[in-house]
Amino acid sequence: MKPADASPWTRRARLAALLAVAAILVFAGATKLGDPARFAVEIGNYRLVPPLVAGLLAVYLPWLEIALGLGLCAPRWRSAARLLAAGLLLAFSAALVAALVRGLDIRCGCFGGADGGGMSAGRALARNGVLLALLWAGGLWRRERAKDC
Amino acid sequence: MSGASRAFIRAAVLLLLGPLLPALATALWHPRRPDWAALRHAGMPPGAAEAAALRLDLAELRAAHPDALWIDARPARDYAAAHVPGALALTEDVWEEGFARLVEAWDGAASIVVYCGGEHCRASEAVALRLRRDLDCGRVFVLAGGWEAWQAATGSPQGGATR
Repeated sequence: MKPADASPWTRRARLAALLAVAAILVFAGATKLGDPARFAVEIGNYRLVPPLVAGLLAVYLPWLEIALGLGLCAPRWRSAARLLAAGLLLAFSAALVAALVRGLDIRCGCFGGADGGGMSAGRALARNGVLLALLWAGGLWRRERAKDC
Repeated sequence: MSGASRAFIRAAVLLLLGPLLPALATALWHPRRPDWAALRHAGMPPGAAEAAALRLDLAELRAAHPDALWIDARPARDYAAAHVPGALALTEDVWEEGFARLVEAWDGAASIVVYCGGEHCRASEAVALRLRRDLDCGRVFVLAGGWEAWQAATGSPQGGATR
């Protein structure tokens, strides 16, 4: 595909895809900031990292999500934010798969308390897939933009 | 390396490091920050150190909380077979129903003691922590050793002593 051939509407759709992911990232980060102690417990429930690391992740990850969400909104930061956001979603998905494989029945912990008790790991994985697809679609838009710079 | 890729790397590094500053502030000053002292207890999942602090053995409980309301956090089948006299069933799986019964039975002043099957079950800790949060009550404890300890101390036979 030659990105320069994209119509204005295609480009707008791709930008909208990125902004949708940005909004979800900022929302996810903001909801977790309400109760980092609880988020630390939820990370600990995955039994992937030592407790202290879970605590550190619990205060860092929400801000990282917000930073990446805001980064997706700014042209200068967009490409880096897009790559890092994809990496973050893949890491979250790997953690969910690890929990599923080991039969851990845990809350996703994806949205603090805002999703009313937590969604199932399977649904969270499906949602991550959609977000990754949106990030990928948004990237096609970025390449033609880079030409202008 | 082209200017574009340098800019890309710089942006990526800043996006990763930038959140460290507010994260540090969150770790130090957030009213609901993780309990760092407890998390340092190696090998325990987060929350376990907090839960471990709630554990009292039967003798301590009887001495300090003689009028406690007892909560059975074991599966319904075990509760039906036998339980501590007067204990109410409450598990995380069927929370609403059990919690409503508890609120009805609890006078708001008595301590609450939660137990599960034995030394290695974790259901009582989970229920106790949730009760502490939901009732905003600091007098919720866990019976160390659970139902096995109760049986051992009272001579309550397996499958009997129901009320």
